[in-house]
Amino acid sequence: MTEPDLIAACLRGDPRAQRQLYNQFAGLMLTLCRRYLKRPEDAEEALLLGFAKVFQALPTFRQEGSFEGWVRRIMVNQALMELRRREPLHLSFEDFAQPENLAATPATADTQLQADELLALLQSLPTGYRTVFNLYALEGYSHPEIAEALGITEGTSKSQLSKARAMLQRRLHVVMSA
Amino acid sequence: MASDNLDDLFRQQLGQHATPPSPELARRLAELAEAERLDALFRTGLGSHASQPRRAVWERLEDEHLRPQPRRRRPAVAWWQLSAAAVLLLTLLAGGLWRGGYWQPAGGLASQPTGTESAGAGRSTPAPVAAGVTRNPQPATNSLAQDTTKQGLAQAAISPSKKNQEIISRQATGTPASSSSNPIATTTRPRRAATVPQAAGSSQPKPRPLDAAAGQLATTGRRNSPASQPTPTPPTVPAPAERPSLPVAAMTSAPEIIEVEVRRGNAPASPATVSAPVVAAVEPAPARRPRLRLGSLLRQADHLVHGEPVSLAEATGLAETVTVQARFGGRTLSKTIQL
Repeated sequence: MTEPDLIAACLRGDPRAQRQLYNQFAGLMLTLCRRYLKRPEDAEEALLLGFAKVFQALPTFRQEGSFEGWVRRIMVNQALMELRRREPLHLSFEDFAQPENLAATPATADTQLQADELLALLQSLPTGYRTVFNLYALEGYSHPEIAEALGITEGTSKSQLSKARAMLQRRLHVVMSA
Repeated sequence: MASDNLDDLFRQQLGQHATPPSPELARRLAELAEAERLDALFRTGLGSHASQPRRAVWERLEDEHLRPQPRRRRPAVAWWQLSAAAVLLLTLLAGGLWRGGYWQPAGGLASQPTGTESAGAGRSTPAPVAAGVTRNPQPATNSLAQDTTKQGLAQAAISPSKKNQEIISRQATGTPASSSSNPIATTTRPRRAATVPQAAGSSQPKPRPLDAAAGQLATTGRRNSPASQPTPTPPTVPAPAERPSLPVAAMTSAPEIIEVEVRRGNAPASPATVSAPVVAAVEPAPARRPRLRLGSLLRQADHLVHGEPVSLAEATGLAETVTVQARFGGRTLSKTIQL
């Protein structure tokens, strides 16, 4: 079943098509949610509510862009909503401004790290760092978009991104040298 | 200098010249490259990674969002409905059983002999006088019997041959064998019986309380299975003249036979032959006390919730209908009571 056929079947309320669409994207979207939310149950809650919105907003999908990108965007928004509920996002942007948190050594890690290790590194970041890094580096958001989505300034977004990268590089170095 | 020469001069001096980047620029470029490398590391490592969600996520999505079923909300509603139905049903049952004399204490039954329990029919030593038994064919009791037929009260005299499981009657003049097999002699509701005067059958050798005597003689609770004690000798105690208004047809004064049968269901009673002139009040003697069954109660509550007809008889284990048939003097009166 092609993607347009799958979407059409879901629009008709076909349970099998809905299950197929869920199976097709649930794994990817759960990883996405886990990148934003530390606790697995919070990530699954975001996944659940995100898919509920996907099926609810499916008639509005105009098939002009990538369906996966459309689903991913809904999931990101849902993960951010869940993040605001679970973690005080505004506090984390005020922290970790000390120079010692900046990267001191360049990262030498390669792609030898497994996904779970990368995920653990991401989840070890402060919430603000993690969120901005996710949005910028992995989702492709621009700083103005991040600022609008998180309610911060562009400068804060850039700063958070820089600090997140520095912290990741340092921790990657530690992981690789261990 | 000619213009062509000027152009050649700059081309020769600057065209092949390499300016080394400043240290600051070099650092920034390195950071960008490193940042891009870091981003690419996470993008490639996590971009296509899939985590398997638990099965419960899909089930919740399906149940709560895709196909919300009212069945899931119904138990909360049904709980209150069931509770209300159970309370109502129990209230009705309690009221019905109370009115029917199910919980009447054994001492309140008129058919009980004084100081003895109701199941005295099986005893080898019969009591001197059974409360529900009329042994004396006095004229006063004849009128009492007529009153009884008018009121439709249960009264029966049973020949020993009528001992099937449905018909429960008892004759006061029956043989001891028959009385032992059929311990209950009188039936009616004790509440109603308590309002009636004393029966002639209360004429016993020793005086008895007014409530437990003839007034309640013919009216007995269904469950308390009082027994009138058969006496091998015909009754000879005359009824007092001041008790002519005995409402229950427990007394027969004339040699006529008044026969009352109470049976479950609405099947007609088979004719009975009674040789003795005395008739005793009769009650259907259940083989055992009908018990309230929880399963039946819940089933009826479920019927009530779903709007289906509720059967009180099924819930209580009683017969749905009880037929009372009285025969005397060639006349037959029958009444079917539906529970």
